Amino acid sequence: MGNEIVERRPLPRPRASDGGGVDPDRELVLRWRAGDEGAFADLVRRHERRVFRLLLRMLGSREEAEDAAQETFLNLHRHGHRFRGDALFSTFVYRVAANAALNRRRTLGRRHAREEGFARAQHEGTALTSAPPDPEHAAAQAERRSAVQVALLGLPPRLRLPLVLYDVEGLAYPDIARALDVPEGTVKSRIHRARERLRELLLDAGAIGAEDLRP
Amino acid sequence: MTHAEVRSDLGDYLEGDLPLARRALVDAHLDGCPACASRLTTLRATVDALHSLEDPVPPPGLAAAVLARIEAGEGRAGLLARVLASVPPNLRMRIAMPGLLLVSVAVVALWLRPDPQPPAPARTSLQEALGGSARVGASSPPDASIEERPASPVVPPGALDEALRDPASVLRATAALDEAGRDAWLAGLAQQAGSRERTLAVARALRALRDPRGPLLADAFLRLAGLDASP
Repeated sequence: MGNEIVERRPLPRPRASDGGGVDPDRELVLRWRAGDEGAFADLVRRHERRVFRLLLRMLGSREEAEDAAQETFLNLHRHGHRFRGDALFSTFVYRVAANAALNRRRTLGRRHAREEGFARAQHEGTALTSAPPDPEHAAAQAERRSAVQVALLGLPPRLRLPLVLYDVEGLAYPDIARALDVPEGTVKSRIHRARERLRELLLDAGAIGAEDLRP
Repeated sequence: MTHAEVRSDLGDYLEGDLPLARRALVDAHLDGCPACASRLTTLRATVDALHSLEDPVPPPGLAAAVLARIEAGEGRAGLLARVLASVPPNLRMRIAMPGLLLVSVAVVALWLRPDPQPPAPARTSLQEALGGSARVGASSPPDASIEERPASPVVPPGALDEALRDPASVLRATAALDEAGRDAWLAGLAQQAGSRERTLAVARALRALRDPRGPLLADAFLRLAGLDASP
């Protein structure tokens, strides 16, 4: 092992908390609150991609993610008055989406959701792949993505949610803490534990391992 | 550093969050520990795998479907939520606390309530209960229980002897009663008399009173006892 090259550099991820800056959604939120439903439509279009991405990673199925995304925006419309403007509107959107994801899993029932999720994730992992220039490489990539999604579904939601917000959505710890209403230290420790668990699941699935350890 | 210490630091190490001195210690350990170095590598591969997930494109009709559902009225909060929304947050607790207190008191009161009683029969007026003066002494209407009659017509034991000794006691006993109550009281007194002679004796004593109500009471007493008012 002494001769192997182990990458020691920290992960290259400049992250900034949302505190301080001007909320890019501020204008639309104010217009919506003043009764302009067109402004809410713009907010939906602006945030649908991140909401759908979070829900797909949390639920493992495009169909479930679409239903949960619709619920998210309906709840946002219903409870938008609770947004006080002390964080970015996008953080509030993540919060509502996270609740939709957790509620959906409760509704489905844990076992049912997991079994369904595994099957769907495998299907989605393949289906999401666009037409590749190198079919063999692309198939391997698709298989790996599918394994990652399946492994994600193997994590308990309380670990999966902060992990997805951090490693997929790229949020900073303070923003995740605000979105999930838990202390920042809890967010950090959950992300580390989630990564550890995911690492074990991916090793078991053969999605990482020998190839990654090669010098 | 022990393996466990290094492994618990790997998350922060990977993020670049470790203080320099601590990072140097971890580096030194990794240089001589293939197991921990391999763990770091697979942890990094795990994060890379998450980053390699595709950025999915949402279904093209998502926004339109949401807006259609809002148009259909699905995006409205319930009445309570809307009312609460109009109340400033600092006032909500002030409103909620008395409400909670009231609900708690009601729950405790319900819990402590004795076994439910059968519903009380409709209260009947004394006149109805006695069926008018002509019916005093006859059986009461079936729906008029004893409890429904005022306590005033209850004639205490020994009232007849008292009336013979002191006829004014009848005046005092009936002074506060209305006509029906007075008749009921006199009927009870007549029952205590038990004989025609004692009934007539009471009537005579009443007539002899200087009070103008005396003769009236005497007539009523005889009538209720089933005797002719004229001796």
